[in-house]
Amino acid sequence: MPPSKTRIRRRTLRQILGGVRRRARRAASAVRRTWRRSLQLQVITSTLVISVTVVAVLGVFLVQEINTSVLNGRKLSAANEATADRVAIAAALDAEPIEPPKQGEGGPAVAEGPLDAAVNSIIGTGENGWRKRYQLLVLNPTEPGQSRATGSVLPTDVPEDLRNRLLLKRDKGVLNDPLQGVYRLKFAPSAEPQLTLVVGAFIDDGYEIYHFFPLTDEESLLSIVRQVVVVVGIGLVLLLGAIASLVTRQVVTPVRLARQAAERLASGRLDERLKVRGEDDLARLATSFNEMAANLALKIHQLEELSQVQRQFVSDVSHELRTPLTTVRMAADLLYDAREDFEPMAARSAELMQAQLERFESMLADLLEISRYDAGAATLDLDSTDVRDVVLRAVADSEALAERHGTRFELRLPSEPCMVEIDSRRVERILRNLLFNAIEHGEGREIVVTVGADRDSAAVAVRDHGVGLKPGEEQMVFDRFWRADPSRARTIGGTGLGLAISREDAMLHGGWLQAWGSPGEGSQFRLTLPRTAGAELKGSPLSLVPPEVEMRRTWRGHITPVLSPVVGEGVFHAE
Amino acid sequence: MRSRRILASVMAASVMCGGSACSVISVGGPPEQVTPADAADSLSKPFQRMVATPPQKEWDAVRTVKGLQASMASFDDVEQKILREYLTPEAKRAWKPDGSVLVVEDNPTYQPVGDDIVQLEATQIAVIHDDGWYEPKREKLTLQFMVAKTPDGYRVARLRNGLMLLTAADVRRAYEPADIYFLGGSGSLDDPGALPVVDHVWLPINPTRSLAETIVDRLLEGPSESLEGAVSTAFEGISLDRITPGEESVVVYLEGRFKQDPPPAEALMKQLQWSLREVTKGRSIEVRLNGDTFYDSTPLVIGPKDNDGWPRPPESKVYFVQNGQLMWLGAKGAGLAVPGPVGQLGEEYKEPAIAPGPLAKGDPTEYVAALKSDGRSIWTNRLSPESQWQEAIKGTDLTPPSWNWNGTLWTVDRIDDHTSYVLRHDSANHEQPVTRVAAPELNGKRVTAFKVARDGTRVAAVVSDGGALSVMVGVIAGDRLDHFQTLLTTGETEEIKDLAWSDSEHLIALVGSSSGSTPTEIDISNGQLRQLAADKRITSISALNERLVAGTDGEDGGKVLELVQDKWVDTKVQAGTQSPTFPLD
Repeated sequence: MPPSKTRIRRRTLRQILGGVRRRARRAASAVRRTWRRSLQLQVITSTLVISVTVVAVLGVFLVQEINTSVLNGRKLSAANEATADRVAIAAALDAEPIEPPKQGEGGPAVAEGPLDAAVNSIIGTGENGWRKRYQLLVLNPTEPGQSRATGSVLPTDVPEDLRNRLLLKRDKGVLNDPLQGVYRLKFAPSAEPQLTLVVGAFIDDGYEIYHFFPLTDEESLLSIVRQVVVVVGIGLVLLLGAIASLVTRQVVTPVRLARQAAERLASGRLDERLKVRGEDDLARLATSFNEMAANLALKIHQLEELSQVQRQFVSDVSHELRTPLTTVRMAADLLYDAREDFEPMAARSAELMQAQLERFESMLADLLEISRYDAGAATLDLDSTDVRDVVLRAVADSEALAERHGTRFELRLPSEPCMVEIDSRRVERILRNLLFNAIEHGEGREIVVTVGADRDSAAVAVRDHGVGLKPGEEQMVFDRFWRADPSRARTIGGTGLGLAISREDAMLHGGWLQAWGSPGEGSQFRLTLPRTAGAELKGSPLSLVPPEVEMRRTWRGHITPVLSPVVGEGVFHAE
Repeated sequence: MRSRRILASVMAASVMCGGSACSVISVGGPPEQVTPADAADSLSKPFQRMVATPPQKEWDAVRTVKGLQASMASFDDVEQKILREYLTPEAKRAWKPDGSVLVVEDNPTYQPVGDDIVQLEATQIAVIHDDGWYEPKREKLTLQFMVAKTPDGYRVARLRNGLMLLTAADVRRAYEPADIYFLGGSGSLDDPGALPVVDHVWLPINPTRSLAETIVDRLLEGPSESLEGAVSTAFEGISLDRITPGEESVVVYLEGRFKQDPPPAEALMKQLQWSLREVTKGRSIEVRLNGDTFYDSTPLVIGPKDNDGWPRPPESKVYFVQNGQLMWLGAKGAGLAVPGPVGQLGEEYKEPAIAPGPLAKGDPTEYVAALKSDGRSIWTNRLSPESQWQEAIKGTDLTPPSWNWNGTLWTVDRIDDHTSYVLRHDSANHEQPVTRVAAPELNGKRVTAFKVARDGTRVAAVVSDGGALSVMVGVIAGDRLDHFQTLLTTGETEEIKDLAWSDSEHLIALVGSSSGSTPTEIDISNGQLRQLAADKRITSISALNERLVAGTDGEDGGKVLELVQDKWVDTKVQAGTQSPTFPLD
């Protein structure tokens, strides 16, 4: 049954989310890595965090201070203006109207009432009237026709809480005691609400006087100040960041150069030196580094010379030993051939001497081989060869020994030929060594030899089910004369150089020789070779950890499969 | 040691910085141009307004009616919500404002008449029509308000439908007078000689619009009823979006499509500038149409002095008749004779009227019209030595001639005491017969004087309706005279000897009584009267803007007087003079 569209969509969505999550995780880890590795980034980030905090605190403080002083100034002047107006209105209302009716400008004759006269004098009505910045509302709900307003203010614009408080005061008999508050008022249905300072007071005879001072100018001023503070703050933080970047760059760049030089030195380029500029601490660091590098190079050179002398000595000794050994061997062969004529004790001695001489010869041969590698004289005789044949030959060579140990081989070879450009003599030697090693440590159990191949490489894995390797031994097995259990005697006459030579052979082919082992589960050695000589290996067609071990662990759920099998499991990778 | 030196340097720098150059407000520097903060914002005048108070429970009937009247004066309350709170539900349903407003003098008296009536007594002074026309109308006014006691206090149970009653003080608060200008003569937008005709209106203050916007809104609505049919406007089909003030110029944003194509820019500029000159105060006016420049690529900008010469004022020259010779007044009282037959009035012609040329295109000479001594015909002549008198109008009993700017000659023929015909003659076209102009509002009345105003639109007449004399002012609306309103009525013993226009808004009537002759200036925009200095000797007057001259008829044979600083001063012209007159009087 085909999956429904919903399921497809859900899966797709999940995949997308998964992809996003993976990318985010990757990006986060990249950032974390960059953060951990960059001293400059850490310094800049710290500077930015600290400066943002400082600038934010200072900015808030500054803006609050400016807010307070601007608003206080405005409130003070508003209170003064409101008081002056209130006094003028109260005085006008108290006074007797003494003005004669005046002839209006082109209009009806007007006897201006005291309230009109007072309000007119406040707002400056007339040709030269100067527009006031505030609006005035005089209310007298108890008398008809005694309420006035200027501008567009209405009685409904009076804030209710302000009026209620004023009413409370009036009920207590307190008049001429103004209250003020800041409100956001809308003076026309379609207008935008305006920030307004309202000053209100009750005076005698039921009059209420309200002043509406717009704070829009102050609001825009403070808004500009806030914007300026924010912009300057951001600029300051960026400037500090830039300064921190510049300063740390001055320090970090020489340190980074020193690190790169140290890395190059560590990789063997002993002639690496730092440039020394000036006399500051960094210059002295560079000088010390150069001295250290020079001393190190000198010591290494001395050690190399010593090593060379030692290798030459081993090589010379091996060569020199071969001539007398040949003579001794000839004499020993005679004695061995004539052992039946000797007394039993002498005959046994002749046999022992023959055996040890053979071992001595093998050891000398291995030593000479190792000397060739050390001297860099080892060369490959490449030929396109079917690996299966090489494996069969090595197995055939090992069968006698296997029989003696009661060990059986299981071969898992591909049906198709597996052609690889190799020096078959050396590869056969590697496999022989691996098989001998497996027989020796396999405790008579079955040895599985598997051959695998893909487009770029071919691999041979030799699996035994012996005692296995302890963690960390996977590396040491390739060391010269290393023995897992020093108390244990070599049963098949190994020289202790077989795996070391095998590793050298594998490296000479540009291949890998790797070991895996686990106590009680045996071990597996995998040889991986490129199909074409000189090509770089990117992977191996066979798993280093035997598949059955992998599956067993997956079932047990101990570890996540595939991705993390080798850490701490005794896997060694030798190239 | 080194750090100490650095510390000292830093401290020195701080002191220098804080103490001098970096002070909070910098001192010195060259003086700067001063720009007032609100220099650009003066398109409105500050105003106060009445705030309507809802009726209170504790108010008695009189205070409730007072509150009702006060709420009528609140122009915030456009929908009369608070006013309607004063009415009982029945009255609320019945009452609807009709747009016009009765204006009464301040402090009307309110008296309770019985339990449920409050009577208001006041002197009505005018009616403001819904188009802003302020029609002076002085009479006693008595209004009765029926009130009813309700649980919430008194309410007005019946209110005369449409009644809106304001006191003079209310009007001063709620209205702004404005002069709106239109073009004299209908359909003459392209005529460069079209004269400005002022329409004096009272505009209700709109708190959401500036005064300039209110004025232009009103300008675009067209003339008020008092000038209907008599003037034309360039703004047909146009509305106003807004006016934005600037320091140097005021930008008027118009919207719509002009009826005329191309738009009558010249007329528009004149009307706009003259109507806004009180509020623009010397700034130029830029006109934008539909958000764009007026013309395709260039803006229409009216300079502050572009139309100062509109209209061209007539020459301020006093003509008079001395022993039958037409003369004009020279320096220091010298009389200069007009040469030729035109100057020889003799006993045959009297009451000359002078019209400055050109009356028609290409005719630069001035014209004289004079009444034949028998009062039965009017003759005209060019003011040049060679020309001869020609009869222009013939009638039964004609009033002295009156010229109009456009070259027409006007008079009134009194057939009898109750029949007067207004006659018009086109001097530029002598062949055309005299036209009788309909004036329905003068029917049945005897006209004793008739003068056409210098704006070419308004006319003034002294009429007798049996008893008292009245001064009536109307307009020339095409082929008829219309919209007459009475501005002055004399008492039983008074007479109106003469009539003269000083400008298009002010008319001077010479009121004679037993105590002497008193020139009375009538402001035709609001009907206000102002009595000027009286003099027993004065028999005739003539005025031109600020100048006022009078002719006397004493034992010395007559003199020419001039009003200087509210005193009549002899012009030193030889005795024996009559009929002093300015051109176009």
